[in-house]
Amino acid sequence: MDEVALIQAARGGDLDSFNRLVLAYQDLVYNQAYRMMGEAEVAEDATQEAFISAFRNLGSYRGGSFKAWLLRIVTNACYDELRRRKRHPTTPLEPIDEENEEVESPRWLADPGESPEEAATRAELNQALQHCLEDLPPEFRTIVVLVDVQGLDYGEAAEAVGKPLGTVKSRLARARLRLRDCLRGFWELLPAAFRLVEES
Amino acid sequence: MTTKISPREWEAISAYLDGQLAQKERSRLESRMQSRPELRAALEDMRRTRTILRSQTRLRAPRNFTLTPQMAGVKSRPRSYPALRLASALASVVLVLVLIGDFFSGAPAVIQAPSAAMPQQQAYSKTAAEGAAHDQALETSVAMEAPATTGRNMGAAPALEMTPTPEVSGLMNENALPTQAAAAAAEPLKSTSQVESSQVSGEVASPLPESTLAPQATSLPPATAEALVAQAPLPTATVEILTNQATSQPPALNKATENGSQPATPFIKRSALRTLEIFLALIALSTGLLAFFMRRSANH
Repeated sequence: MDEVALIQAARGGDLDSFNRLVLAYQDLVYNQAYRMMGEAEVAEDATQEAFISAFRNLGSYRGGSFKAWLLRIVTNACYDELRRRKRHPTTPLEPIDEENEEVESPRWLADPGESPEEAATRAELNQALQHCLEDLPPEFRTIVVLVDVQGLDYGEAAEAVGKPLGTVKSRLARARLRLRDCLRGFWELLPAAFRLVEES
Repeated sequence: MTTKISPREWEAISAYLDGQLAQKERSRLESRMQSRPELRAALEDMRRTRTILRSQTRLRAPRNFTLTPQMAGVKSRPRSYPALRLASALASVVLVLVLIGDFFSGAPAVIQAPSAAMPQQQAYSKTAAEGAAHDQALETSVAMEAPATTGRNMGAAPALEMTPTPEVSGLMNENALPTQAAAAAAEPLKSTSQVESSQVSGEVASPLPESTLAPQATSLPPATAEALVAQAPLPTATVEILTNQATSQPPALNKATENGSQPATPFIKRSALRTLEIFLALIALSTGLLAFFMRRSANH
């Protein structure tokens, strides 16, 4: 059954059809949530809430990119959480292992083709990038993750954030500029990591 | 000398990197980049940043985010919810139809009843008035003749006895009822008159009370009346009155009997309709409330 048929069936209340769509898009949605929130547990909650909201509001889907429609829902869910945190700031809890060290997300390391050194380097780069992303304003962060991390084109990104194309172009340029300045600080620290990226 | 790159130029470089610049703007930027090395450096910086971003490992979802029926709110409503909702709607529709039918069927009957009753009431009142007038005439004539007639003939007593009461005389002036009713009504009068006649012989001087007549008596058969008249020389007016009364039909009594049963039927129908309306309203309200609370508890 193709995506259009699945969506149509889901709109008729077929939960199984909708769950097939969930399985197809859950990585995309979770990545967006994680890049925006920076925390795995918060990203899981946002992802689940996004899919529940999507099923209940399937009637509002008017065609077009279903991917962009889903990403819009999870983006709004993340915005809500960020606004809530702004009103009630809390210290994020990082998981601590037995040696009292922060537990890194194992997903960072999920690349079977890399050597341990390469995996460690990539993990450090991911952390550096995530740190720079979290320094961006939410609206800049969303755009750069949608276009450069998730691979959406300008039109889909505009649909996902509900803004004009010109706004997407402007925010993307400013986000990239800020990330360049932020990553420049890590460039001297992790030259091998950047060389690894350029080689691949 | 490095000139500062404007935000507009950064935006053009970013769009140029993604192939999103129009041809005209693309040519203009390329020509500027040839004369300005900082623009070329900026382009390289932006390309590297985009590369790092695109190189990020795609994270896999830590678990499946498929929805359970409880999450989706799919099977939360009891099966009886649609049936209750339908029952409430049907009961409401039937109630409305019954109310409409009651309204249209009840109105003409209400309008007709008074108008139908009016002629009857007028007839009754007219009859009663005429009867009262006749009765007065009779009483006057009988009272005058009583001392003269009682001593002459025993047959006069029945005639006297047969002086109608005001109600009976009023009824007897109606012409609608059949002769059979008159004959049937006359029979108790005959027996009464026979009893009274034996009593009269001992009480000649006192006039017979009118109450000795049977209350249900309506009229005399013509033959009896004529016989009585022949036996006793009553005044002509009295004779005529008695004769007319004997031949007249007492229709009003039967009519009253018939009408007495008629009001019962519309009343029963009205009561049944009211009961049905109340019953339907209770069903519609109870099923509707049940369905509402079921849906409310399901959504919570």
